[in-house]
Amino acid sequence: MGAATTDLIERVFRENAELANSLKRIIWRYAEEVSEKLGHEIKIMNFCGTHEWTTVHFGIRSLMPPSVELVAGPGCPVCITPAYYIDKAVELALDGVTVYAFGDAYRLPSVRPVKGARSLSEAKALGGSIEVVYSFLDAIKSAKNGEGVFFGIGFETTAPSYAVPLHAGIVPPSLKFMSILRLTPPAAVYAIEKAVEKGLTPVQGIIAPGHVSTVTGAKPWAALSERFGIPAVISGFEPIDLLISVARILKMLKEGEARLEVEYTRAVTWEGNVAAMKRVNEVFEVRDAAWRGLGFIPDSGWELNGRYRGYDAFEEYGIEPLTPEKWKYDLPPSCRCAEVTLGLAKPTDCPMFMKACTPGKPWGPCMVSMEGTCAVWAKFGGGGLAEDVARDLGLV
Amino acid sequence: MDFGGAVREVIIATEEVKPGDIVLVHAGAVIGKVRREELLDSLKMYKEMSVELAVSSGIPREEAERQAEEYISYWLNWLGEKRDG
Repeated sequence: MGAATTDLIERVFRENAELANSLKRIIWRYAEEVSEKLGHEIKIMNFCGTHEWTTVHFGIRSLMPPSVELVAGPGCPVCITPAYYIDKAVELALDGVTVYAFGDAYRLPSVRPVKGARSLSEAKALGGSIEVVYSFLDAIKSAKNGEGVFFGIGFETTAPSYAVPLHAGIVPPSLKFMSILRLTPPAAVYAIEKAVEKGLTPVQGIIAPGHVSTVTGAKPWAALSERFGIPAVISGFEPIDLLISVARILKMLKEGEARLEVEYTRAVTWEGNVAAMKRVNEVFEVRDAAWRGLGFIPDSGWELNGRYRGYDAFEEYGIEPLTPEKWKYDLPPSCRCAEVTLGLAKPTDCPMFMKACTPGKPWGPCMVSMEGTCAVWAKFGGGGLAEDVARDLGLV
Repeated sequence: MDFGGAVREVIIATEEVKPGDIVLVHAGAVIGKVRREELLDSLKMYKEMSVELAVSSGIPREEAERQAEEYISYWLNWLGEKRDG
C-alpha cells in the first residue's frame, strides 16, 4: 500500500510531462495578464533550499515566461549559521570536547582560523574530536560515556528532533547542546523588506516552505501573506507541486487576491504538528538571534529555556553568548552569500562563483550546504547554462 | 523505519504513527505523515485552473470540466486499483 502511494506521487507529481506542459500553458496565460497589470516582472520568492533544488534540478525556470522571475530566498540553515559558533565549536573540539555535527556543518568555513582550523573538518585534521552524525539521536547514543556538545543548527523542521528527546529525558547529562536554531518567517520578512529598501523589484508572491509548514502549520505563512498583501502558496517538493504553486500565485495576482493557499495538502495542515511544536515551545524560547552576514534579526532564534539550561553548552563551557554589540560581519572577503541568501543577488552575480568558489573547494557558506543556493546552482546548472547550451544547439 | 531499503531508528515527533504509514522524516525525526486522503487535492487546484483556461479559449464549460474530471479520476482509480490489487 505504501509503495502504491509513493509510486502515485512520482507518477503524478514528478514524471508527468503532460501535466507539466499543461501547467506551463496556464502559467504563461496568467503571467501575460498579470505583467501587463503590474507593469514590471513578477518576482516570486521561495524560502526553502529544497524548493530551489527542485526548481533547478527539474529546469522549472526554463518553463517560465520571461516576465516571471523565480528567486531563491533564505532557506538554508547552514548558510546563515554565524561564524562565531563555528569558532567556538572548533575551540571546544581542539580542547578535547567531542563536537557532534551534521555533515554540511562539518565542512562549514568560518572567517579566519581558530587555533589553525577554519572549520570543524579542519579541526578534525588537527586532531580535534568531532563526530559527523545524521541526527541528534545518533549523538545521544554515542555520547553516553563522555563529554560532548551538539552543534544544534536548523530551522523549524529540525527543532522537533532536538526538543522531543530533550523533553523525554533521554539525553545524557554529559551531552550539551549549542542552540543555533532559527525561525524562517522573520528571515522571510527581512528579505521581502530588503528588496523594497534596495529599490529592487518587490516580491509579488511567496512559495512557502513545505516541511517547515508541516511542523508549524500554515498559520505563520497566512500572517505573512496578510502583512505584505501578496499571495502565498505552501508548496510540495515535486516539480508539479511547484508548477501548480506558481500558477496559483499568478491566478491570485490576476484576480487581485492576496491570501494563503496550501498546495502541499498531503503534508501540511492549518495547525501543523501541534505535538512537536508543543515540545519545541517547552524546551526552547524565542530570542533575537544573529544570522550570518546579516546581523541580528528580532525574535528569530531559539535558545534553551530555564528548565533545560543544564544542557546549555555556553553555560557549561563558559562561552559568552553572541550579542548585537559583539557581532561582526562574518563572511569571507568577496563572498556574496548574504545577498544570495536574501535573494538580492544570484550566485552568478558573485565573481567567485565557480571560479575561486566551487563545491569541491567552497569559499563561503552558500556553496557548502546542499541547501545553499550557490551549491544547488553549481551542481545542477541553475545559472542558465542549460539554456545557453540549448540556444547554441538551436533548441530554443 | 524503512528508508526505501535502509532501516534506521528515528525519533517520533508526531502523534499516531502506525506501521504502514508513509512518514516525512527530517534529521532523524518523523515530523509528519503523508495524508493519503489529501493526496490528490492539489490536482483539484490544477483542475480549477485548467477549466478556466479552457473556457477562456472557447471550450464550453461543461466539456472543460468533464475533461479535467476525467484526468483526475484516472489517477484516483489508479491509486484505488493498487490499493485493492
